[in-house]
Amino acid sequence: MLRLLARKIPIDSATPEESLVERAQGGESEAFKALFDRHVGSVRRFLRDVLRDGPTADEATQETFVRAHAQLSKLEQRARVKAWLLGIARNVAFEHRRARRDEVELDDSEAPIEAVIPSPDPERLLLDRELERQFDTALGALSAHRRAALVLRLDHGLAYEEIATLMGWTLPMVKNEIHRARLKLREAMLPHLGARS
Amino acid sequence: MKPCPSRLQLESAVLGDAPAGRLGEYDAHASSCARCRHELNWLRAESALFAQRHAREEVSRLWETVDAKNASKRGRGLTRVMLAIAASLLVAIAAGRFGSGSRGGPHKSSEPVPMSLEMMSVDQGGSGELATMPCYTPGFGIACGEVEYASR
Repeated sequence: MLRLLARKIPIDSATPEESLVERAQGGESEAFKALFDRHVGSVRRFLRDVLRDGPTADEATQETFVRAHAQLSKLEQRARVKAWLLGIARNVAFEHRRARRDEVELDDSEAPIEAVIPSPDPERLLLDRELERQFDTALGALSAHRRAALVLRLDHGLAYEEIATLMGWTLPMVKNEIHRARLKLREAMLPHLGARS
Repeated sequence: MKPCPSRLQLESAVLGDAPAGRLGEYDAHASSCARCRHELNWLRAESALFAQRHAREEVSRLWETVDAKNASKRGRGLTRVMLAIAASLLVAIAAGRFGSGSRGGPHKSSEPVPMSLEMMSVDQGGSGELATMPCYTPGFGIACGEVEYASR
């Protein structure tokens, strides 16, 4: 009865996530579409960052949401949709990567990162196409798993504990990987940000 | 001067995970602490670099394929249900038609059906004579051999 009443309420940007999930679980396709609209940008960006290819990321994004739709009834923590979707996306992404056996995995674990990196100049941070390209290249230079962990934290705002669950790592490992990725990224971006010494 | 916050504390503040006002406290601290100022500068730079990518995304075009695949899966699920119902009905009909000989269906048992002599007599055109007839009817399981009946 409550579900029937809930269906009468129109969906808008203020509709709580939990309500959308419940309604989507009840078979309301409009609610699932609303969840898609809210999270597709994040999911696609994450997949693009991990897979490094636009069309493949598009395909993986669609696969992520098809799987999410099929597994929706299993989602119990309705407020954590984003982490749940990114977890599915992570599985899809690494399945894609395993399928592309010719890809060489970058291993930046031993890169020299201990040098003191000067601060960036905030005035240079207005992102233009060239800076965006440099940033993308710097991200691409990280290993896929390390890059995934970094973007999950800095781009998608997941907590370290969530990333540990999602990646299947220990918490100290997550902190270490993100720290190393961050230093590597800063080192790569420094020449493009006009840093002060 | 307060002790320096940890890198994770600074990060939480910049990413908006920390309580309101915490970032202001850290900024005040950083104004006289080069190490924290440096870290906050970088954290803000990273945050800006990531945030500014969001505006360039155009992803609504991906919905149609997702919706079509979901609809296809729903359709397949419905088809499976319909097929299961149809199969159940067929089984039920078949069981009703062939499952019980007592309901008028053909008797498939190899056991002879008990019949009276009258049942097997055939009047030949009112002549009063009973014809000879085989008591075996192929396909009906009546196998009692040939019987000859005398006239009444």
